[in-house]
Amino acid sequence: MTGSRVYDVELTGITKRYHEKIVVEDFNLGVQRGEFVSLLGPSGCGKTTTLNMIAGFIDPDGGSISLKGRVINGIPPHKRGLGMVFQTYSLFPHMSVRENVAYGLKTHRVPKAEIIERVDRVLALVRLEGYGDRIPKHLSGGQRQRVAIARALVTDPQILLLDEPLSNLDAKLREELREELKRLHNETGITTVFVTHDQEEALSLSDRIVVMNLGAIEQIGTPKEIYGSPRTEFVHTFIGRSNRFSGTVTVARNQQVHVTTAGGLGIELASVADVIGGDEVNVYVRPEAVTISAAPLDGHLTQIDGRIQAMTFLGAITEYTVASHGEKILVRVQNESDRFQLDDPVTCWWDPRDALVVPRKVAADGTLAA
Amino acid sequence: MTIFSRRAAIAVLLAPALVLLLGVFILPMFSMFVTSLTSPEGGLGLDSYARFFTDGYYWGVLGKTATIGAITAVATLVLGYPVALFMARSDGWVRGVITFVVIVPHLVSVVIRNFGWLMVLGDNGVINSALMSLGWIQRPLQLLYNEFGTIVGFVDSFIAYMILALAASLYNEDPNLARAGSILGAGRLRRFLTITLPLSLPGILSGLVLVFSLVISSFITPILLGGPRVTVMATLTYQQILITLDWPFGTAISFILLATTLLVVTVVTRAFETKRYKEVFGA
Repeated sequence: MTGSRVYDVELTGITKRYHEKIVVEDFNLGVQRGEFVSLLGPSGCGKTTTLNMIAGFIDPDGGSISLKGRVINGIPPHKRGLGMVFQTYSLFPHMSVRENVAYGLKTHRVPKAEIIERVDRVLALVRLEGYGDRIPKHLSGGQRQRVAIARALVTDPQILLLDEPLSNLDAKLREELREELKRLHNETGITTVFVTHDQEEALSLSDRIVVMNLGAIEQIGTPKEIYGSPRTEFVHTFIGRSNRFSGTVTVARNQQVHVTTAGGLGIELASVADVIGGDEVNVYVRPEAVTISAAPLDGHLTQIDGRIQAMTFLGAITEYTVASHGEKILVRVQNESDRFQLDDPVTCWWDPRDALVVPRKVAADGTLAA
Repeated sequence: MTIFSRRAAIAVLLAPALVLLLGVFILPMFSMFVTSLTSPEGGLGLDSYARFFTDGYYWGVLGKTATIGAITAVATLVLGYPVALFMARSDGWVRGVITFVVIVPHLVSVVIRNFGWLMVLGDNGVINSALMSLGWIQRPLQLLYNEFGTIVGFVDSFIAYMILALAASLYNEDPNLARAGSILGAGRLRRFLTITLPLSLPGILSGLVLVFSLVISSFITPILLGGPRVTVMATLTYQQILITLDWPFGTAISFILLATTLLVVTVVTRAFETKRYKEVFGA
């Protein structure tokens, strides 16, 4: 976070409490010029509070916020030169589409002729030519949100803030507008901070994702890193689905490290795993990382024998549940051919490097948390 | 299976109210209207109406009544708006306390409250004695028994209606609109003028109409605070019916007042209800 680089948005040590309850704690993030960064997390994780602090609606209790190297703590929202799109659209209901979009230009005392030109241009950008004279009431949800985006973009803001802009739309529109956002970002190259609880949105739109939980950052990374190598238990379970195995670490004579579950399932760990014998751990593996085959395979990989207990056809992929040693292993495979039937005996395996090993928390009374 | 059809059930439920309205409101009003059309000779005629409209004095009373109504309505709007805004923007117990403070004076009779104003506005009242002891004035200001005193009393009586009408409208404003405005570069004043104020037009309209109608039909305050110099339509009606015992003229005056109210309300409503207003606030 340090160094000579000037970020478009830089948050340093941001903290916010409400009545002693910590909402955001020691939040550090630098957003580069032109970057699309998502704040992703469950409700109450502090993502919206963080966005509102960037916007200036909420003052942080500690830390500093800079835009393009200039500290903006205490500067009111109307002097920050930002663009923002709200979850509830928040269009001015008494103004036409054109008046809504022109609002920010009028406050910035842009000459009339230029206002007309820029409003036309941005309405074309969001594909709403011909809707200028309607009032928001007479627009569909998707059109309203496009007006809101046009209104935010027309002033050429330094940074665009998006507060769950798609979550009030139905599934089909949401996907359509997601593509639209992507296209707009590509065309305008505007630095964007996007708040969402929807992992699909974050994964498909972002250059980088900030996964938040309980007011703190869990992991920052590209969508590929976040999905492919989750670094914490939370990221593993919040993003996508994961198999979890709880067990005890055993070290074999040949220095191979294994985890054995209560039911006797043995899982091989990568040699880098930072555990010692006797540790209680959780092992997380993505369903996509698991391979499934009819016959056992040669080699030293973890191999688990089981039976197909359930299967769900999901179009391009099939989800199998494999029962083994009292555990249920979720496996997702591409549908090349319909290979397995219920009760088929199968072997599952994965590359130990694809598994995350997390020590289980030991409570004060010596019992283990799940 | 239901014994009554839905329509019959509605009719049964509405019947008591309709009977009451018909018996104590519509029928007496109709009989008053007939009375107003009675000429001194006993037959039917427009004599009472003609008498009113051919005498400049009565025109003056009508004009004064409407003017007092309009000034009071605008004054309650200007004075009540900040209170309503504060009320709408606060929440929890603060809003409860403000609502209570606005409404509680109405538990006291108008007569008592008007007497209170006599103490404040009189020659030896709080205001005059204060100004005189400061040496700012030599003789007491005439604050009572004129239009000013009447309007002060009216504003006090009816400002709560204005505040509640405005607040009802202001509650509905999406708080994110102000945020959207500020992100787009609008400061506090600009946000108020371009967002909050236009969106509260329905509240302004209903507040103005309500206060105006209440004022021009009131009669206690003009008598107590206006005195003999301030004759309004309501006091004129009272004189004609209870003192002069000229029922046809008295009832004619009250129907002229009713017609004036309807006319003013229609004109004001039309002025507010532009095409955009109907589009935005219409059903």
